[in-house]
Amino acid sequence: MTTRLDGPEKVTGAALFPADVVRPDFLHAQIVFTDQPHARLVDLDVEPARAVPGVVEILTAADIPVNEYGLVFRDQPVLIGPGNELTAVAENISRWEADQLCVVIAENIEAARAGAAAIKVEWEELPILGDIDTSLQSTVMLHPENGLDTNAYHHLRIRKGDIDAGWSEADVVIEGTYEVPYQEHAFLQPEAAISYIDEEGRVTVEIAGQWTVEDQEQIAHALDLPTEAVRVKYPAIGGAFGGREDMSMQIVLAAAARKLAARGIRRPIRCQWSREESIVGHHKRHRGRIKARLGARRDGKIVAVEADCYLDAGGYNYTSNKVLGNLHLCVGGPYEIPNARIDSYAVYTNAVPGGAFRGFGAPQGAMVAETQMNKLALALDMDPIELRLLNSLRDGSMGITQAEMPLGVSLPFVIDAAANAASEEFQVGELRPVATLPSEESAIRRGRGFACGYKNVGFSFGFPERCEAAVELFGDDEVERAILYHGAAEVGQGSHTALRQMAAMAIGIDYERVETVYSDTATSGDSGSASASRLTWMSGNSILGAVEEATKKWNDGERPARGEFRFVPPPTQTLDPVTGAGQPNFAYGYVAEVVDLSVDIETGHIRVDRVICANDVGRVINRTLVEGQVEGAIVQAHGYAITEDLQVKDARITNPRLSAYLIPGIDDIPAEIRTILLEHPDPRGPWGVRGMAEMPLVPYAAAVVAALHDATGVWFHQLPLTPSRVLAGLTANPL
Amino acid sequence: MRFVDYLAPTNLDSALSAFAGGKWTVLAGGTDFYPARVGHPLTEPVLDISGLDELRGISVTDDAYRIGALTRWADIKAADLPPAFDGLRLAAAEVGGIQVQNAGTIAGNLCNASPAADGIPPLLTLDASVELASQGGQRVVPLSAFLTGYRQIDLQSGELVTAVIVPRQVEEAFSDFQKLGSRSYLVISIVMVATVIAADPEGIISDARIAVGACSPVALRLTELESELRGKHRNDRALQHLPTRHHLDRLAPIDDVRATADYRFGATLTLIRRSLRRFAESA
Repeated sequence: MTTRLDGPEKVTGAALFPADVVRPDFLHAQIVFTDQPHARLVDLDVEPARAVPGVVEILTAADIPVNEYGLVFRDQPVLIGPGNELTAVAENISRWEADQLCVVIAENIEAARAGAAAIKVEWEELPILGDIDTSLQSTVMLHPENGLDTNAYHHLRIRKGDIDAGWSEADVVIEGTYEVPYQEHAFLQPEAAISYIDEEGRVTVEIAGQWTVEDQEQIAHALDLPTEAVRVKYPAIGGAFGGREDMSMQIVLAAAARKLAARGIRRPIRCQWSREESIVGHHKRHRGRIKARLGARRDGKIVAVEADCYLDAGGYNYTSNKVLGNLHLCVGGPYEIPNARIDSYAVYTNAVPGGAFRGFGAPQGAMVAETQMNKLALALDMDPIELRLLNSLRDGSMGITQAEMPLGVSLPFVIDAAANAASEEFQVGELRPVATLPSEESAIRRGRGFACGYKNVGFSFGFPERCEAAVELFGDDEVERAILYHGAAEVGQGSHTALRQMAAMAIGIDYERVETVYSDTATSGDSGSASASRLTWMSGNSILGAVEEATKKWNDGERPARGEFRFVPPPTQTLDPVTGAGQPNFAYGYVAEVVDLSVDIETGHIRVDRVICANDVGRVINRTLVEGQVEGAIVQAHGYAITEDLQVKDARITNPRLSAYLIPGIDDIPAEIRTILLEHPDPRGPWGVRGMAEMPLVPYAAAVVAALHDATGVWFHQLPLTPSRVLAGLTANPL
Repeated sequence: MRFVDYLAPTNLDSALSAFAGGKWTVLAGGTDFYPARVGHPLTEPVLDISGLDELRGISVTDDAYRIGALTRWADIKAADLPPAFDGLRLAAAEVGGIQVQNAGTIAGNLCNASPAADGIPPLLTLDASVELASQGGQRVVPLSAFLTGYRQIDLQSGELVTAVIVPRQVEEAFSDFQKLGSRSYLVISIVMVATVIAADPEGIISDARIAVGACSPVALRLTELESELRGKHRNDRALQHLPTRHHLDRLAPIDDVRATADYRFGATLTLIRRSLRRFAESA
């Protein structure tokens, strides 16, 4: 078995995460949040902070040359305050409690905090649009610069077939309104970074991120610098899950290093967020509300789907329009749907921004689509597996956006695999939700639920997807060793190991003979992000191309032979604004799950006794890593479905602590996870590889809801299924 | 550099004499002290009593068990104690995680006086008292009187908690503790129930004590329910219909991030019923 590249360092503690880097001449930065969900800055006086002993410098909006940023479009000021007015966004308005006001840089962190406390600021409070409904009804526009007269700033449509004809054909109609919750990434390592001017004069940020080149570009834009004047480097990264895709402290720390350098101070700056700052300070999985209708004939064939989807984007877009797009594709389910009407909206509010999080809209969509399907199966008195197989997308099927599905549709295979495994006998464990509280047998109900799903691989909707790699081959007659240069972020998923394995496979030498240089814009090209289940798929193709280039040069006698390659997958399209027609994606992954659970009907505690996950990964590059991704995704899905309850009141997070926001512990997670890896090759994947790391998260919540219904006869339309919510639901619907 | 006064006495007398002379924050196991100060420089004078070994450990006399103030939860969990302490030992296993149990002390749990303190309901069912010492002398206060309100205690200036005293009344009684949270462990309680029930050889309940935590500013004994239980036989079918909602009238649970007040009422009834059933089956 291949040793994980970063394993020994992480096991021994030698790995340096951004907060572990220590320089003797560090300055310390404290980022000051506005703490205002919606307010206009009237006056900011930082002079009292300058007077605090040890305070060296204070960064304000005026120090940001182009005071705007955003991963998809730039709708957020870097710092709130009077700026240089080179942006369309009103710079003096805080639209989120964790908008950043200024940065205090000092000799030590205590002085930086004392400086932050000394800042005098006066706000004019504006109406707080705390949720989707308030925002939709309000005449106050959070982003008047976009010229719209609604805060529902992004609207996607699907108009497929003849929806009225569909309904007239329907023998059974299922309706439901679903509330999907926030989820916090809760990665192990809260945000931390250092910044400095490197030996070649580049402003450099060492941080845990997901895409070096994107970070570099956003910093360069705000600082009005050419990208090559900015360097971004990733030390060890303590988890990401989408939560590091947007900027946290990259831009302000780069700006701070530049401001100090302009004063002749060339000292590195460090910054580190507490867990509370981390939870308040970065985006979340979107909360939302989805109203859905599903119609089918008596024989089970789906004839119509309608949905109205609303996602709370929060104060800024982040990747909300893209997440919305993915929800839009998933809310009908991975089925052949002849007639559809879907309207999806992203809505600005003053709550925490929604953004990227493992699954990227697909978990919300699957919660709706699969619960609707499970209700339909019940209404038709049909086996839920049969119902899926009857309607499943297959090779040659037209997707919901009227484009043919990319080849390699393996949904029927994963459905079969999960269902077959579930039909085997098994013993459920004792329900023991709390150590001192064994449930009484008389209070336990048991149930089984099924759900499946799909999720795109790679960037969608016409984004210029690409991935670059460089390979150098060394030796005389034979290739003796090689070096791989790649930007890919190792966020804990094992990408640096898998990429090295693929380089060895492509060159045809031992894994040990491949050296790797990773995650530094100074040495590697654009890998694209560690997200969208794309990294193995895209990187493998880039490595294959680079090795082919290098081999040509090798055969021409070049020593060492260097090959560079930019892999570009088949193009995708933005959806037609009226009909939603278009080819949004070039690849998908497919997954099916069976959940067996026990519920204590007197306390509302749920224990998942077993989950079977059948995931088509195309080709296993590293089995341990792949199984780790499946299990990790299910644990994260379990938190989403049952324990994690982020609470927001008046646009402020009220439980930004891991003592009150409960991620599942080892005794809470499914007692058994049975992972079934299928290897139906993706025709375009390297060695047949498919993206796989998000998929197991996608159908889990719907499978839990179905199992809970099987156990109790009650449908739940809102997550998470906390004891309190479950018991209230059972009380309102007596058995 | 900043300096704060820090004193770590090695015997009780010197601790009390220092304590009499100034305003000190007492530091024992530190499991509440440190988390409350993350990110803030220490500004108040600290009296670190963790070195007072004489305040550590459990001893027994003719009429009482004496649990030293600095006795850690891990010590209590492992202690050889009669059945009436089973609830307390179960609670000891629920205070935070192993690391907290290895550091946190029984007196710290009482002095922090959280409504959700795991140690308080079982100690209430043991009729525990708190022994307080100052330079001026000593007094003993029933735990129910020591806890005066939400995070408030009857501790006079210059006084230290030196021990928890449990009278030897019902040592062989059935005892139970149930904690309900949204997660299996490392969780703050939604509701806790502690019980101590003694029965005579014929099975007639002679003494019943039931305390509920996390449903009122201070954990409470359900005295009305207790008196209804007294005199009943352990197998009396009437037990299956106890308690009812009116037994919880003195509780005042709140809606918070962990659960709704309604849920807390319902869960309290469930937990008490389960304890009564365990009691019935314990003979």
